[in-house]
Amino acid sequence: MENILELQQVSKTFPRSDFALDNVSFALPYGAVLGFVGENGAGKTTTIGCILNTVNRDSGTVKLFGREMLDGDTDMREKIGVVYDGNNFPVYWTPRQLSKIMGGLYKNWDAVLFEKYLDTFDLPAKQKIRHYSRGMTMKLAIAAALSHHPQLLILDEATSGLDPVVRDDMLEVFLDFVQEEDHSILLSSHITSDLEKIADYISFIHHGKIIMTVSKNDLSYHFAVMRCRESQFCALDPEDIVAWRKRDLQIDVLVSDGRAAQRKYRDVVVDHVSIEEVMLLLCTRAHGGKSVNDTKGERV
Amino acid sequence: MRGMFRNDLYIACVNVRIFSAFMLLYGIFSVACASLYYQMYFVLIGIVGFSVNSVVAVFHGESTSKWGKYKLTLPVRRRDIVKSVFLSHIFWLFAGVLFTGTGTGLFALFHGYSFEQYREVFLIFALGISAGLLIGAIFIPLFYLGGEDRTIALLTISLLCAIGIAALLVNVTTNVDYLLRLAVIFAVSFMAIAVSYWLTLCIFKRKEY
Repeated sequence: MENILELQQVSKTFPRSDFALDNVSFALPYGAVLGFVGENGAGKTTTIGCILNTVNRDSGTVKLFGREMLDGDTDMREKIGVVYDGNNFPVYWTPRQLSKIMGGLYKNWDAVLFEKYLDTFDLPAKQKIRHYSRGMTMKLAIAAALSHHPQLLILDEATSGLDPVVRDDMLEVFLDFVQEEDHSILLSSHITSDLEKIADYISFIHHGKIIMTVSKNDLSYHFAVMRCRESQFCALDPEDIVAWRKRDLQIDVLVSDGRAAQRKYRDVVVDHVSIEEVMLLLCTRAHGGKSVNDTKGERV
Repeated sequence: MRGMFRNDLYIACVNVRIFSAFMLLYGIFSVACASLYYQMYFVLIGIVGFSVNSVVAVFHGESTSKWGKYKLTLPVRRRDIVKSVFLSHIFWLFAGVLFTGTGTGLFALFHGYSFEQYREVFLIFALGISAGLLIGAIFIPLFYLGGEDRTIALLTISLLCAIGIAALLVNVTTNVDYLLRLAVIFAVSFMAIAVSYWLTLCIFKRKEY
């Protein structure tokens, strides 16, 4: 399948902090939604910065629409809509002024579509952005990102801080957007319920490293969590463990094939796993080496 | 590029409108008082004020939102972003010259100038234009280098340095022929803005958000 976005071995170090992006690789196919999940400070925004060239990567390649995007490739940026968390635009503008400015920047700016979004989202066109609520500013940013007919939407925490009703509305808009076969969305978020609703693929990032990229179907139908007692945990085959986490007397173990695990370990409870639980399992303790003996040494 | 320039003009418009109202009152006052002294300050404050307003407004937009970062995702090259900032600065500087020029014209119409006074007024215009250009030349690269959180300090430094350098230029050329003196002041100021543009471009190309 052809990819609209492809990252290979992208690395970035920040000399003044301990944080580094470490060989980040993932791909987003045409027509798909990729949820980019990780805790605060995991490296989601830095990765997006590397994609959009707002951060200069040290190494690795980022391909958009099949090729690397350089500063001069304005035609490629015509096809990308971006939404950042918080105020994307100067607060003393009105949406109408924003539309005029965007009209001078994007060849395909559709002022009529923008006005339509303003109507749909109940955003007053003549009111200054300063007087907008947080939800309204996010809706405005989404309206602006969609109004130049992009192919790829890159949303960096675009739904965080929104109430569930507004979030749901926005997710509907995103789902509408990906109805077109050549449209894709990269949605970075730590609100995993949003991703449950719209993502086709999930990429988990932790401490600047991609821990796992998996399709949501795989996650829903194959991945599972085993609820083990300590003695059961010790008896597990290390190869079966993707990640684990101790909770009081119970140890939760993430496995990539729930049915096989159920057949193999008949006395262990095997549950379906949510994205949130996977995130907790992967991010509480990165799985790294899968040796139970090693991990038992640390824990027991 | 055109869109980015329009964006910079839009942002500056809000501040410039308020400043223009103040300068209008000051202009009326100086014409009414028939004081050449006030008139010269009107020219100097007007030109420098318009320049300061333009740079402050452009960068204020970046520090109160993610617009600085967002701009890089728009179909605009970094070079064009820098170019539009400088063009906007020069545009507002000359808007200031036009504004104060009109005030000066009215003053001349009502009260008249002697030949020597004309020379003095033109020199004040040169001083104002030079200071206005130098403010941008110093502040813009410093802003991109120092970041949004130091804007006020950088602006203060730029303002003081620009006025100081412009005054120095006027002083050191006292014994030079009048027209050559004006030419030297303009040449040095425009050269400074050209060097500053190049420097800003180098800084901004590496700038990360």
